[in-house]
Amino acid sequence: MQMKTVESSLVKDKYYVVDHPSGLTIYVYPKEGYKSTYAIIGTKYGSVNTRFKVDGGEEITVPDGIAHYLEHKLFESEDGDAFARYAKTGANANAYTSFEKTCYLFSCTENFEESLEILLDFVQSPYFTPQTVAKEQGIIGQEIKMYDDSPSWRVMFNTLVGMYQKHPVRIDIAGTVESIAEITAEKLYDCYNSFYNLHNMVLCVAGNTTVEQVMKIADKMLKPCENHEVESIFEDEPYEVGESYVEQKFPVTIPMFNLGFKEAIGSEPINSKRAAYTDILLYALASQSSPLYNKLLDSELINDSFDFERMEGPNYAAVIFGGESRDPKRTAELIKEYIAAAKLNGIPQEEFDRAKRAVYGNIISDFNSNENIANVIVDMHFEDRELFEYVDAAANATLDDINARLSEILDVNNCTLSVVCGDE
Amino acid sequence: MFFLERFKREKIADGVYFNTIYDDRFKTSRILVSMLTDIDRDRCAANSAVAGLLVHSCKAYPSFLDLSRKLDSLYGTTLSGSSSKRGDSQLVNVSAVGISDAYSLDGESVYEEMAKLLCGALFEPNVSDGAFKEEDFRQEQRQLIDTIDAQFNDKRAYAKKRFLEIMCKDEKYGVNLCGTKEQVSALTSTDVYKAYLELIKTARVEIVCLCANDTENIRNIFRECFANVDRAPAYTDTLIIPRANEVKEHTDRVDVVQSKLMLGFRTDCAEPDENVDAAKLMSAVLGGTAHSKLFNNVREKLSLCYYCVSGYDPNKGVLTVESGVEQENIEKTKAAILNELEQMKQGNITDEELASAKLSMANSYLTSVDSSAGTQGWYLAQVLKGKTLTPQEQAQRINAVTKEQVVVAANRLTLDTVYVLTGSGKEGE
Repeated sequence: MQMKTVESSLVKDKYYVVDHPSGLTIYVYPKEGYKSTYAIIGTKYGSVNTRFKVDGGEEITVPDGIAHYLEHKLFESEDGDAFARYAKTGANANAYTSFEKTCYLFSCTENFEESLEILLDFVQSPYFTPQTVAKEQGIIGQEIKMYDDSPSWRVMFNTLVGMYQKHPVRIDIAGTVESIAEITAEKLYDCYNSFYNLHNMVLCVAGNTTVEQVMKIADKMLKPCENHEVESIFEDEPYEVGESYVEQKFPVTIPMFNLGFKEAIGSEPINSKRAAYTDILLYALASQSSPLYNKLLDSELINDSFDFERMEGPNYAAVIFGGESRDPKRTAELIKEYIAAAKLNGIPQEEFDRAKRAVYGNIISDFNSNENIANVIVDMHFEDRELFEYVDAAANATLDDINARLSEILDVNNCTLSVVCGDE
Repeated sequence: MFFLERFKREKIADGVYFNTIYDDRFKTSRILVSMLTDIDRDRCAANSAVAGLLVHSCKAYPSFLDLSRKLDSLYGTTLSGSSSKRGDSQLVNVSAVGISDAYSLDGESVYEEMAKLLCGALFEPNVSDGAFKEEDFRQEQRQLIDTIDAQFNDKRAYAKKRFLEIMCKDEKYGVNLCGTKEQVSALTSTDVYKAYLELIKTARVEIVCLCANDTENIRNIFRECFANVDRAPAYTDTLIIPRANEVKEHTDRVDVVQSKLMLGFRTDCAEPDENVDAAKLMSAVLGGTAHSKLFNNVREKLSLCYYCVSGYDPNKGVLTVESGVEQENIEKTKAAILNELEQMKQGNITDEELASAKLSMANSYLTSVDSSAGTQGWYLAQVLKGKTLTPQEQAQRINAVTKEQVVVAANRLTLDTVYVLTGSGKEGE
């Protein structure tokens, strides 16, 4: 068993990475003085993985929303469901599915070892029958409808639908009431057997624990498993956005907008340095201390709901600005004008200096929370990045780095404005 | 004992308390100034505007851009204002969070600067001729109107707001703290400045400082600032309605896909009643966890919904149950919820249900203080309640509650309001 220690003089913390003989990569991040422990296990399998091949075999296509459906159903085993078992340890358990991963987690202050046993046991014990699959239709149907009523969710998905012409990131994570009706126990097993392979998964535990404690339970619970190559298939996605404007009428009193800048796809996810540079760049461009934000505020176009993020996954990447606005079109024009000018003139030194300090402070603050730490480690593991390398990159970034990054992304001629608004 | 020896409380002026929690586990320090005042239908909008204006600019940093730049140079320190409800009181909060001194790259103290900035925001606002700077005020007024409009955008939040307005129509608790659009539009910068002066003079003030520094210097700065105020603290109180006389039913129609159902109960039990812990446990057994009766039966067995949860507000003695369902299942869901409650009233609670709710509550108390915001919030809630318990002590009290006490708590519930937000389909009131 190989173990590596990773330390940071900036964060003043360290964590451990173990390549477990079962095939699972395990991260342990002890937090001194903490009473609670957070554990999360994830598989690199999300809503976008709807077409795939295992070990070069035949292509399998599955219904939209199946990864999320599987997440719900994995909690059930032959001898009852995992929630009932957690009820005896007091752990607070949950799970989520995103575009590119599915994660199961819990936090606890007592009975950590028993709770970790439950987690590792149920993710390795699928049990799907026609009856248990049917029961979930009503519950997930209501989950889908809850999101259908959410303007912030709709405005985001409409942006993706506008930006992406082929890529499955344009499809709702939970699927539709119609697509989930096609899900069967057999299809769930197909997906489970393809993607829930320990070699395709990662466990991270942060908080009140030690490597020895985690390994004791891992050794007991993890069943060695053969590595299968699973290859996801994505249709070629054009560089250009599909639609530059998407609008949905909705019962809202103040319109909401997302302005998404679609990026060219590299063969590899971005590295730690470029991730850190992007964060500083976006902060310099659009945070509350930026000339852009203040201009939009003074023009009465935005309010403090204005925000921005960069998203990236297999074969897609984009930067999205969004919030509430009385005039989304004018807001989008000003954002694009500002970015176009910044690309020409570069980010000024003093704006870069402030953004770098602020982003560094925000990163340090995130190390307060077991949950943040473990979630970010899981994300970075799947994207081949290392956490402390990212912190160092932010602390050592230069203005040239940031301006170079600016020249790579935010093509003002390749974006989608999505608006959700009421009937005028 | 975990924590308590690190907690210090000192009165620094009439009705003003400085609470220090020494904690070196966190990578941030935080200071919160919480001003407690009675909810007043005609004044709460102005109070909410105060919360926004105090963090928009100040004398030393007279524009939002200046202030934001200063905060960035302090490693992204945040200065934020908010307004929240506690029983029939409005809390006007101004808070600062920044990285702990140990993490600053060039050795300067972020904590001291941050504390002074917060103090400046509170005592040296951007004011002239008895009013906040007009353009700042206009900005805040516009954003408050946006906030009121945005309350309709999120339908789950909107249903909660409407439900409360209906259930507590004649109580302060039912007031929307942002006020109405008409009230906000009619505000002037002078009104808001007057509200600010009134708060500084009459509100009970709790300052909660969580850091790994010696706080004496900062405490003295706050003490000196408050020494210049002619304090006249006002008493706040919450009206507790023990039971409902009749059930109010109300349906709002909006173009939604999923209907929202809310049930409101009077619990005949609120702080400082000694049965509050039993009521908390009762709510957890009913619908507070993923092992609760509502989760296991209404969601898992009947597949009626994705969420069906209960929440108890011990400061007001109100329990709410909320769910999102198909329009045709509204009545069925309501009956299923009331049936689960009836089971509890009859004493049909298993040992497992009781034990898992206790474990789950203990877990959430103890986990909350592993977050710096959670620790600060925990101690603010304790001092406002007037009895400072550690999370362990609170967990022990819950653990001591018996099944019989839970059954008694359930039997004290009376249904007050049934609220439905639904589409414009076929079903009537």
